[in-house]
Amino acid sequence: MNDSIPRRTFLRGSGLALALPAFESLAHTAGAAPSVPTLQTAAGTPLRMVYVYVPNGVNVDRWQPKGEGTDFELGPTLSTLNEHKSDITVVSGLEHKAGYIHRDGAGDHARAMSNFLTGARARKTAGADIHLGTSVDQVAARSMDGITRLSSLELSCDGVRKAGACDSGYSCVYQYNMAWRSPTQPVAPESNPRLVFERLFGHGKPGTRQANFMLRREQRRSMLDFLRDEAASMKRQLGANDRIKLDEYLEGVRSVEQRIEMSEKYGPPADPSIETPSGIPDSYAKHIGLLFDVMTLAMETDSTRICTFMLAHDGSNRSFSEIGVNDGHHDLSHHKKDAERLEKIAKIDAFYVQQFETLLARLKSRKDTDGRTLLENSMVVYGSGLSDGDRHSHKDLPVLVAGQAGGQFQTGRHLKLEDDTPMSNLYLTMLNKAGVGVDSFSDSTGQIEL
Amino acid sequence: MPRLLALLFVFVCAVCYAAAGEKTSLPDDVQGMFSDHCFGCHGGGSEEGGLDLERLIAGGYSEEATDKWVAVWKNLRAETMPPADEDAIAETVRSGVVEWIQSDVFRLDADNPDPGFVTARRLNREEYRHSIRELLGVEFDVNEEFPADDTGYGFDTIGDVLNMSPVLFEKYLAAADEIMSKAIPLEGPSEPEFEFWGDHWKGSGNPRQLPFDKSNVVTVTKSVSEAGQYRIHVDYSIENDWTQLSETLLLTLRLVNEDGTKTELAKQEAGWSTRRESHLEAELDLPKGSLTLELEVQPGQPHSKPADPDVDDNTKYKFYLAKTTVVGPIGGRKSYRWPATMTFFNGPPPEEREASHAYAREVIRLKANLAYRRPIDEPTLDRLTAVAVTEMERPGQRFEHGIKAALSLVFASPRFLFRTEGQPHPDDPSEVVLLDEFDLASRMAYFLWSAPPNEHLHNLAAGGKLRAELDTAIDKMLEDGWRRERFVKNFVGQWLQTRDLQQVESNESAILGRDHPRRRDFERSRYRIRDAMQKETEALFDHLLMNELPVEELLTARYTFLNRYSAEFYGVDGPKSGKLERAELDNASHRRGILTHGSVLLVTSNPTRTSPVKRGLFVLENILGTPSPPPPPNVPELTEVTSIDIRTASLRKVLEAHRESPECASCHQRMDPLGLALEHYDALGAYRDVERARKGYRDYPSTPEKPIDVTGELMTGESFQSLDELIDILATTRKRDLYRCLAEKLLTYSIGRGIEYWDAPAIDKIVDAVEADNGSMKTLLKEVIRSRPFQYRRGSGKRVVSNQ
Repeated sequence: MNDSIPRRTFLRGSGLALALPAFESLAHTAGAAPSVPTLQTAAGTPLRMVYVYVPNGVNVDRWQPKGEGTDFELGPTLSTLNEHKSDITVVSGLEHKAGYIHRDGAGDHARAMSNFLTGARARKTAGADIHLGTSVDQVAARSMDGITRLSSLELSCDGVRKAGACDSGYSCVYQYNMAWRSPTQPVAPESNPRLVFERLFGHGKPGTRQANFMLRREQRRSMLDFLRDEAASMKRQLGANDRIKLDEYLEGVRSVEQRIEMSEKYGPPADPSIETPSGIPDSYAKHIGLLFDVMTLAMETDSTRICTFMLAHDGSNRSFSEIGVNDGHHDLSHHKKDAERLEKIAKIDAFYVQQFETLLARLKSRKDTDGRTLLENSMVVYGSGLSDGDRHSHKDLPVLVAGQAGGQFQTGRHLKLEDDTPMSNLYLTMLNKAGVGVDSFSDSTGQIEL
Repeated sequence: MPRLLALLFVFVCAVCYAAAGEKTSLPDDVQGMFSDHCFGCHGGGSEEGGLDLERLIAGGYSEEATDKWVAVWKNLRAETMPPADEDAIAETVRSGVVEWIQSDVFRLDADNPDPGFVTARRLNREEYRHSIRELLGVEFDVNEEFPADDTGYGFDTIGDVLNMSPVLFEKYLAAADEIMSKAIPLEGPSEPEFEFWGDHWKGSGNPRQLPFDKSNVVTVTKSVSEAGQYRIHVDYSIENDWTQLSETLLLTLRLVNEDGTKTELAKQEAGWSTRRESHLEAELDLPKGSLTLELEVQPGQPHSKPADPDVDDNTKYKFYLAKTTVVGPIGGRKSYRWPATMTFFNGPPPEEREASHAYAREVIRLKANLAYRRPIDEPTLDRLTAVAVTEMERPGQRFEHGIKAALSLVFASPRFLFRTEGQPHPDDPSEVVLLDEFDLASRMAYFLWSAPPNEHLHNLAAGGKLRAELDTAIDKMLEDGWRRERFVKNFVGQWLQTRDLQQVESNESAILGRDHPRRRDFERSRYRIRDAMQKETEALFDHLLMNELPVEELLTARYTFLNRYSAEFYGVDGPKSGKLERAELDNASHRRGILTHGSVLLVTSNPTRTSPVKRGLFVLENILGTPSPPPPPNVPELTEVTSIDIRTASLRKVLEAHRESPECASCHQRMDPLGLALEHYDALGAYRDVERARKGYRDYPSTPEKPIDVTGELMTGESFQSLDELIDILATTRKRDLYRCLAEKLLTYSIGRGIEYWDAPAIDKIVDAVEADNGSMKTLLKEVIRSRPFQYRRGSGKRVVSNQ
């Protein structure tokens, strides 16, 4: 492995300087494929599923494409994606009914965030009895146990939580987590690129990571028996609610065991010949870029096939001095039709789309073993749980799908669906294209033609 | 008394299923009050806000019935219903009905309220950090290494949302290993040494801030008890390292011999090109007797350095002499150093094998007792000792390796990571038990110190004396200022959101205007101003607590705690140093209590403008504890409101237009007036007479200057002409609301669950005691600890309350 690659290489937007060897699916090389292969293309290469969330809705006029079907023009906000126009489908008409007020009162940001991947209505509680639904990525991730080293990867740029109450009586759990393993268990996202990298590839300098990984593996292994017994004996003395916590702990024990077993079968994870990224950079764009780098690397090495990424939580009031917008995003999103505010929102929307463009470029610059690009073998959703932020609208959500899912998606289109088509229909479609055969997902009513 | 049929309460979600569909009969006075004051809007088929009280009484609303009753009860209690423009209810009648709902509808036992149950709490990041620091003496960067904790009810101490995930479990494993590597010296005990701080050196200048442009000599004399070979290590640092000055220093360390001659020991250049922290080092033979060292600090050759446009030239370097360590005599009797001394309580292990195993067992026992917050059971201790012995007897391993292996397990164990509490039948919801003293000690220690019980508390609990000496124990815990500070930081930091202060984004140019004379100063000192503001609010809370002053003084204090930076920002004549000092406030200061603290004003603002909505909500949620209004109608998106030119209209008008939307009105008519009362403070927290005119963004037109109108009315009908009047209302007629609100926040934070309607008797008791003691903040804190939900627990699950 090459030690001389400067750290800057990693920071550069385009990502890896040295292409890694194309890793074949672990399951394939070792003949451990499940009876019905999921998240795999017809050619047998990994199929990736990615969800990227952008907060607070968009300037709707600037987002919307002109025209329908293959004869369409991207709206101004999406114009930076022109280069990838043939790789994306803009989907209109999707709705999340679970975002509506119903009997729950205020809290549209908490609902928009939490229902984005679950389609479910968050139970209104500030802490006790958290209840939502399983998110689409986690439904898919269940089938990846023992196939990839991590069944899924959760990322977010929000490393800091707000003090005090969150949105109108909803626990912050709903606003800072997008992936949910079960209706009661959010999967906490990570925001520090260094920690994510180390979890995937081990600690230390390039060339030493595999040895470090093996050393740690032995240390961990020797601890697990004792800890499992401790948790089990504690559990016997506790009530039902506490036992849930101990079960979560035991799940942790099992997951570490499983990773150890996998590394025994398939060897330690790849050791990319690049320096480990340092912590969280000051610039927001660089932070996003580093996490995109790690995410791309994770998929390229087939460490995981499922990623979710919250660029920011819904309701985020971040300001964007780097593009001359000093106002808070959430504050602006209540634009009251003021032209100046709408203009600024469009700038923020365009900033986010520009970042997303770099992800598409990264995925396109890597080849899978079947000669296709990573993007061709992926399905990537980019979108928000609100359309017009001012009216907290949960209809006609801004959504686009990138990648061809291994040749299954006809991209380069503006797909105008019937009004109020459940967002869950998109997810049901994706799950089925990914080979996760389910009849329904959340409030789905059918599949859509992608 | 009319009777209800059997009620089945489901405490977990506070939904009362059996009240559903049950008919409630009313005593005459209650019936009279409802028909006189309520039925007009909420009766006879009229269902304003989704409530028909007659239908509720008749047993309608099925499973929603309890929620409806809770809403009725809360609004009557908070006097938000009937509305201020309707006939008021006589106070005795109102409180009678509130009590009737508590006793007859909710069937709460005022003397023995349900203590509720608390889900096991995973240590949050702060608690983990302080636990590790207190038990092992190791500082672990939790914010860097662990993902942020989820919060509930506004706090990060809530068992139900402190999840454990596979990712987090992995991190705990890695952390235990890393922490142990710092806590336990694997190379074994080390040479004897002594150390002293920079201020022991005397000479021609202050050794903690020697300038770069002058020569200075400082010396120090210490005694050496044994002749031998020694190693000397002098730590120093360069302060103000953001300056771009190119000066360097030449450092020379010398030994002053008995005859006055000097021997040079080390020489080094210090300056921007060296690391910010470095050291001088020397090895030498010393006789028994005195040791005199001399350090000469001379200006060195200037370096050239590329200019950084972002830093100014005014800050000069200072040389800071830190710790000096003298190691030796080398080859002398070895011992452990701190923090290893915190673990190896009796020094290095005995030579003899059996004895060293017995010592290992005791080392593990003492540490595990504190880490598990109760005595470790013998079988677990046996197992951990076996782990240690196996490890230390492996080839190439030492005693310390064994201890490290065992203690890594202790600190990754669920017994350390989760705060669980015991009772004989944990799944029996009707079993109510007094917490055992170890559990009580844990609740108290994590409440007041964010850390586990120390040996003293642990021993009190072990001797069964904690509860008997509760009051003294609380006082003693609070007197420990270093640990109490964590409670203040963590509780106030979340209650009043001062924890967020440094992260709040704000743009001085947009708020003050580019031409504002102080803009650049404020930008440059942003971190220091905010740091001072955060400490100001914490200091006021702490001051009231420790001096047993009234809670409402939080709102009314005509004094505050400032340093140079915050005093300059407020324009208050006051402290001239960076140290926080008490400052008296006059009318011209425009400051009085926390509502005028920069901290509160800033965390409730947007980056470029104030937010009356956030500020109003802040007062409702954190001061008054006002119940939420009924949910608005279900819509896919909010109604379009009358278009209004937000450029020219006053903020008051813009908010009024917004309230035309029915979905928005119910909440905003509560929040907006309170927030508008604070409009004389801009988004940085600075005072202003008018809302400043603003230049438009790019080609957009500018906005004119706008007057500020702070008059308004509370939901409960009291009207105010100024912020001062609002503060007076909050601190007098609404002060019980403040007591209740704060009592609920403290209880939530300390026991780690949300407050439910069935906690009312316990909260009432706290509020009464506080009121009887002139509002004392300390009494409030103590009453929370003495309260039934803090002292007792019950089994989890559904609870059946019988009719009798």
